[in-house]
Amino acid sequence: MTENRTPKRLMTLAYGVSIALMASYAMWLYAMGEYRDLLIPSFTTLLLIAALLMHIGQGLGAELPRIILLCCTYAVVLGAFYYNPGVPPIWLGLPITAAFLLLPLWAAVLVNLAMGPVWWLFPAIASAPPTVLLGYVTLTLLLALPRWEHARRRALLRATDPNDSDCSAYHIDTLKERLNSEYQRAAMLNQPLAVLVLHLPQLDMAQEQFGPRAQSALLAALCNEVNSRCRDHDVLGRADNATFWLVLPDTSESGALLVRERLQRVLSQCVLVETGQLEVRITACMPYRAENFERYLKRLEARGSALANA
Amino acid sequence: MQSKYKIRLLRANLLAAAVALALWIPNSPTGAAVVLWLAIGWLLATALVLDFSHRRSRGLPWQVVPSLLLVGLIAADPERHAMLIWAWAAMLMLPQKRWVTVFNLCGALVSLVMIALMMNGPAFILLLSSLLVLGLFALIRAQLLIDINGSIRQRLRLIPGLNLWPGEQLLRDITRDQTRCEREGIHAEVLILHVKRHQLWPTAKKLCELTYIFENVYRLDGTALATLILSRSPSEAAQRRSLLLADMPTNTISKHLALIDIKPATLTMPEICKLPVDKEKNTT
Repeated sequence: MTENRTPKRLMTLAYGVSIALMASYAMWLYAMGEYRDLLIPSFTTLLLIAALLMHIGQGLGAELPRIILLCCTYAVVLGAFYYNPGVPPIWLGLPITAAFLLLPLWAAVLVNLAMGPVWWLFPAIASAPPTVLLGYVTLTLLLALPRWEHARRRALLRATDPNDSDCSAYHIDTLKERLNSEYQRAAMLNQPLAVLVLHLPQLDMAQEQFGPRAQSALLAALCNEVNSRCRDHDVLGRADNATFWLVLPDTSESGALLVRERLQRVLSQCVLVETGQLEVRITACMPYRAENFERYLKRLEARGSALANA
Repeated sequence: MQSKYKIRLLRANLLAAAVALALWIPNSPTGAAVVLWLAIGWLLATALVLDFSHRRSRGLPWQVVPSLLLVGLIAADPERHAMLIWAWAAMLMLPQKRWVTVFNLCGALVSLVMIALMMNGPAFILLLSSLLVLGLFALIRAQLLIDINGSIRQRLRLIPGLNLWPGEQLLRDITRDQTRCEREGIHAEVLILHVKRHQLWPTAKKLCELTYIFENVYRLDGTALATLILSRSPSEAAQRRSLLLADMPTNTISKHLALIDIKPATLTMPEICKLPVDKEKNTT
């Protein structure tokens, strides 16, 4: 929660500073007596105040105020180029940069491509040397680079982080891999292996009725209880939205049933604020003798969906 | 597959930016041309070096190089390259260390002063304050990604799809596997390999292929790798060890010690490389 709050506050500050900037630009134009140019900046100042209120007010998407801010930037720069042919072309960079900062990457690239020819309709830019065109293209390409780097890092994080994004259990890819490695290990060292399939029937309902916070509370309760009751090397992973697998290495069927009873009892004592008593369906599933791993995975998945429909 | 696609697009963007910079070179004075060539060289080198793993992301603050190039480009020909002043927003968007951010802000200020000579006072103030606002938005963008440093990083695997983990993971695994192996009656030992710096990643890949899927490989530092070998008896472990070492590059220095003999409570990352064990030099 706290990580999300800082950017939100900073964002409010950024909107506030942009309003101040826009208002002082309008006042400066007023002081210079350029009443014709004054119209656009004073109107956009009002729009920006609306955007700031939208940003502070919750429940609205974060996209709308950003789009308003970008449109205002475009309107002001277009207006300046239209009324004063003497404006230096360096100001062309402002809306390009704003687009890359405020929009998703693809939208920013499209906006800049579409706006490219429009700028050259203005005499202030059409009469500029060809280096300005080169500058426009180069700047667009350079500004796209950090956004690609962000996309690369995010994809890398998803590919290398073993944990699920919502709770402290492994996500499905790592879970399958760990299950496979435990399966091989059990086969090589001649040990038994058991998997408990857990299903949370309240999860979808919690999401629909009480929103994401109730859902993450349910997930956290399950993961905490299971992780604190189990051995260090037991593997808990999220196989499906509401289905978890608990891999128990070196555990026989009777051992797995004991663990099942214990978990069932502990989890049913958990009471949450919105959803009430925690409801969990648990079943044990052992690999057959000389069963291949793919078949076993299929059987586990089938067991999970059978629990969901029970 | 989707991630490969992202890398390719990023590479294409780097190359396109290099081409765009190359188009500036004709008609530019010698000084500016030199800086332009340097910037093109950097873009091409980045495009070549780029890969989809955590191999290069730790350590060096590479963001300093492009910001120096940017200052250079603007200083070399402030009149023609004035438009590039907006690229500082891109520099600030990159996730970076705090001192690098300060460095970038100073760079932006210096290049702004160079441009100021061609503008009148109020326009300069307007430019400065617009850049400040944009910089603030750029820093917020960077902030969203900063969590890649910190605790998540210590549990990430280093290359997608490979069983290769950071050294901090070994400390956690040692405690976990000690109790487990004791309970299951298995002989486990830690094998530490010291290799030449340039051989580290190929060796790590090979080690991942040669060990079982349930035996993790760890990167301890720039020259040391470790793996946990599980077997039923000490003699079997010795046999496996010699098989593994036979496939490792020459001049690999290896150490091994039984997992039971390690005292995990007092162990830290640097100590793990210096554990008292019997060394053998692999010269085959």
